[in-house]
Amino acid sequence: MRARESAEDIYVVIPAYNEGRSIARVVERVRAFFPTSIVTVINDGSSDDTAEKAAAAGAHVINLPFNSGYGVALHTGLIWAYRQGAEQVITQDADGQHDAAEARKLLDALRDGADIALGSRYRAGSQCYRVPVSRRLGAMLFAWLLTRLSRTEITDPTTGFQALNAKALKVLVQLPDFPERTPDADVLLFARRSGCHIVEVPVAMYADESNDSMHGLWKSLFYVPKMLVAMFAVMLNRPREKTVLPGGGAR
Amino acid sequence: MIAEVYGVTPQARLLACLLGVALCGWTWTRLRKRALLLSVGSILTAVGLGLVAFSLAPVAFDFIAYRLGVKYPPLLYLIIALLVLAGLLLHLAARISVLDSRCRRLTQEISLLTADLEPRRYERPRPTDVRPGR
Repeated sequence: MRARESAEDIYVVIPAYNEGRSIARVVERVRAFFPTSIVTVINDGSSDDTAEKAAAAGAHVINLPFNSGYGVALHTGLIWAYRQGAEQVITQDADGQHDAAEARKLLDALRDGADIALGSRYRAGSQCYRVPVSRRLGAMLFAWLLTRLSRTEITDPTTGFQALNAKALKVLVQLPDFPERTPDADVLLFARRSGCHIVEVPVAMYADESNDSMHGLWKSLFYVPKMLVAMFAVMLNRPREKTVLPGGGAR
Repeated sequence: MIAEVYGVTPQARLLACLLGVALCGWTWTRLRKRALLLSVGSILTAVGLGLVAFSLAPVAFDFIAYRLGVKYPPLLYLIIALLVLAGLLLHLAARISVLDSRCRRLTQEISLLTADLEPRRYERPRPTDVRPGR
């Protein structure tokens, strides 16, 4: 399915947890580049003023009742966009790592036939901050594995800067067990096995302003075996065409 | 005689019996109040009745151990206890996973419904752009 040209269809989903310092700037930046887009911030049980600042900046805010994890917040945003009939969805982080100006490249990739466009910080032509060695090694491992399993060259499987068309959105919304914390290589593998065409686009990414990455040392150590099991589980499951959507909504 | 070599004192038998009866009593009370999963209640009842049976005829358990080729009967008790615990753990792990998934879906639905029901709290950027779901 080809992406429509109209900017009216662009939904921007931003999961946020205690990002009061950066969320307003991120939302304003998105609205500056995509004035007619619908920016949705999924407030993942923040204890600060993330929701208020996002709303003041012009975002539609969905509040999770408690901190449920990045994956749950992202999935909630995707479900919301899906139910609104979104044709193009951009997902990006709330910490200022991703520049809305770069999203145009992702949308162009959708227009060229991709179902999922990934903003890569490691592909040639990208502009990347200094990534810690442990995270870089982890990303390389899963990029290598994902490339072989999906037969699609992927260099940055942990990127949260993505664009999806309606087909990919439907696939991800219907994923039975969307990862709670780290929807990375396993989700991409599921999408690929479900017939989505994935393309990577080099983009500029900046260091996390709060310097509070999801992948701390202990989490990183646990992340590798957990992701390996998750990818193995995806390989065991045959993608299903029809799945009951959360809440029973179907189209 | 087996009982003479590996005898169980009357105090130990009484303690096992009391523990078994207490476990069964607690389990059935919870089941009556519907405050315990039936599957877990079944496992706990089996454990409680096993303790009572052991207190009534410990020699029978020793006999079973010898028949199974276990020379040291307490080892059989340990193996049975570990198997029961492993079974309980597996059952609860599966149960928690299902509940976690359902809880997550409910959380998402509550959030989406709340966002739809409270349009005044957070004003949407452009209500006319938001098309009804298909």
